[in-house]
Amino acid sequence: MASITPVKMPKWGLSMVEGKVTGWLKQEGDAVTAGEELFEVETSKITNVGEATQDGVLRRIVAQLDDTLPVGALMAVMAEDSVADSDIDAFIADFNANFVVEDADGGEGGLQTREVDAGGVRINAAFAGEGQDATPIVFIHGFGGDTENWTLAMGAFAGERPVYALDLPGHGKSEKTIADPAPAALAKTVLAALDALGVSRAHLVGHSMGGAVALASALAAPDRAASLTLVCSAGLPGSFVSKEYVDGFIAASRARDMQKVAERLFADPAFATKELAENLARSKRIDGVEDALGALRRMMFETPALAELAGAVGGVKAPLLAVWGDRDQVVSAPDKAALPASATRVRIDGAGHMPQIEKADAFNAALKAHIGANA
Amino acid sequence: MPKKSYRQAINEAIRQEMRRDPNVIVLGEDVAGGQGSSGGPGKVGSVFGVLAGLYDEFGADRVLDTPITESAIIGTAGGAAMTGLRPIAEIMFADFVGVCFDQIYNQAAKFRYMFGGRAKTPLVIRTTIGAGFRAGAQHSQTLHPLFTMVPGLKVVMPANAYDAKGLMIEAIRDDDPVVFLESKLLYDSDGEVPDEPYRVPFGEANVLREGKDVTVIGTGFMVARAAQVAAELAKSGIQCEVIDPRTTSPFDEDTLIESVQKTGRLVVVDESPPRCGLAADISSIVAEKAFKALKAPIRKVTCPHTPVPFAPNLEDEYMPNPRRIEAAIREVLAA
Repeated sequence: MASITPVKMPKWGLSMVEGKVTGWLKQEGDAVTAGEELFEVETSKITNVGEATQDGVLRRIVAQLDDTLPVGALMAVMAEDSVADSDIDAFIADFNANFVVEDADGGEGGLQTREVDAGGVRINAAFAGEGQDATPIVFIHGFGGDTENWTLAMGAFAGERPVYALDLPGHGKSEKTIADPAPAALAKTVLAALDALGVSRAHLVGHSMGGAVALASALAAPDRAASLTLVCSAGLPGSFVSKEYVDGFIAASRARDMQKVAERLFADPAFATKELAENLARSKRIDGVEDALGALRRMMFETPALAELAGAVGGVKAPLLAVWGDRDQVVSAPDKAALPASATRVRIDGAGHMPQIEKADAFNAALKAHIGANA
Repeated sequence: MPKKSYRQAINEAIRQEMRRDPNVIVLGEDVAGGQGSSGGPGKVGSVFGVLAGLYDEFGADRVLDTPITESAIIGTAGGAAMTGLRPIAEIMFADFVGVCFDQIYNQAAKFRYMFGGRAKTPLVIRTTIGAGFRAGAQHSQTLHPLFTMVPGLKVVMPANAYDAKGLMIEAIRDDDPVVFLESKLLYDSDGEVPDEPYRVPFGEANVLREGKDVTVIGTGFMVARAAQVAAELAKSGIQCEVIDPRTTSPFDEDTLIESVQKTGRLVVVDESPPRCGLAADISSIVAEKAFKALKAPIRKVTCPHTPVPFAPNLEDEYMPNPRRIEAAIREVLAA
């Protein structure tokens, strides 16, 4: 049955958990070539067209018009004409028997949010899986990001331990004023947020500029970091942030300009959906965000803060995992020779700057192995 | 994200700007309201309740009930704007602008130009538009073409709650006179609206739906109607690209032209009479700039060249309705 392939509900944008089928553009029995438009799906944000990913015959439509399905669910089956109907029936039954919704807690309902006072700074935290005994994971996004960058990773771990993602100051639903953009100051806010959330010790995971914040947190409070995972991170030896990207992000005010900037985040530019661009443009229009991003830009390019962190990485006590995408266009890969000898290094192939989204399975596996080895 | 109505979104925008900037004031007929009633002042908050609660929070110095004289409202507001305040003036129904139109098109719209840039007029004129409210010929018109054709005015037509808040904040902070046209039939529609203040820039269209077969553009309440028809047609495989320009002046030509270059077909849905209107204007832009891309004649879906009828069945037929929009789309697809 190798020639049978599923057509699955796509994931467009970081917050999509389900989609409604609003149109089939091909009929059962139609021959389809890769790239041809196959179906139309409506999300809470927009309606878009899904294309066939390979050649074949659309043998069976499983999702009917107006059906709402979770991301990854079976919409249709493609196969050659020679494949027997009974094999297709068996394939569908098998797929549905093994299908699990990506978010372990059943969609958006599993993710909750809470606002905490982190030393006088209002910080928004997304969380799931509270009440479990295992050491929590705390995720920290990068420049221009938010808690939604971690949706897939949180879903993968929420079934085994509490998971938290923070919106840094100036981002997401947190306070927009950044009093001091230095990583050490942001780390202080992160640690205060963890105090308020009742998290005394955690596996810290930071992405990009948020990696620098996670690194600064682990240096400031060694007892509180069970492990440290730095993803496409700034503040490591040899990891340089693209000024062109940051300036482009700051300059783009229209959603269509933002889409071009966002394409640089991924190896496959198709991940930079119109919805993602619209959400990024919307987040930038909130009062205070422009100033906050400007302050972070100055910190990254006009102060030695990141270089100083890179020089201090040898002082990290927690087990360190450095992850990067081989096609990252925003932050260059760390200089292996300058990382501590004990550090684990994982390169994710086919990923750009957002491996936790673009290659979620590979990223989650690397994180699981690191946490498992340092539980 | 919290859901709020279009009415609440506008209220929140004005409230947040009044808290942020003491120069922002509100004036108009019954914007506080309730004078002489058992409830006392502040109990109305304008004819559709958009300003509810502002009088209680900001008092009579910043929420000013005026006599029933539109020329005085706009004249006062325009002058106040030149002296440094940021007035938000309300005209209950756009139909009433006739009596104050000199103050709008010949005064406020011209100050910056005539004083060589040394005078600013940061004035917002809020008013309501649209038929379907069973309010008769003198309270139901959609007069955006009248404002759009005047150089010096910016014209905003929010089509949803998110845009309503962001466009209102942008309007208040803008240093030019802005006419902010609220669709009566949208007041109770709701959507996700952030609690924090945010801006939606003028001159950037919203592409609600992407499609390759035909471009459908509309403003205000017509955006929802166009989107509704597009969703229906998608079930039979017709892919409409639905565009809401958000502001008719400035107007985002780029997004429209790019879309027509892709689809080759255009339907303009506009709730106003057909002559010298926005639909004619948009059609001319596309005819001039993307003629070679067109695979079919442009179709306009507008009101007829008549006053808005009071009989409900006639009023429903007067407005561009889903049946007429669908017919126009099918017509350009068949051509």
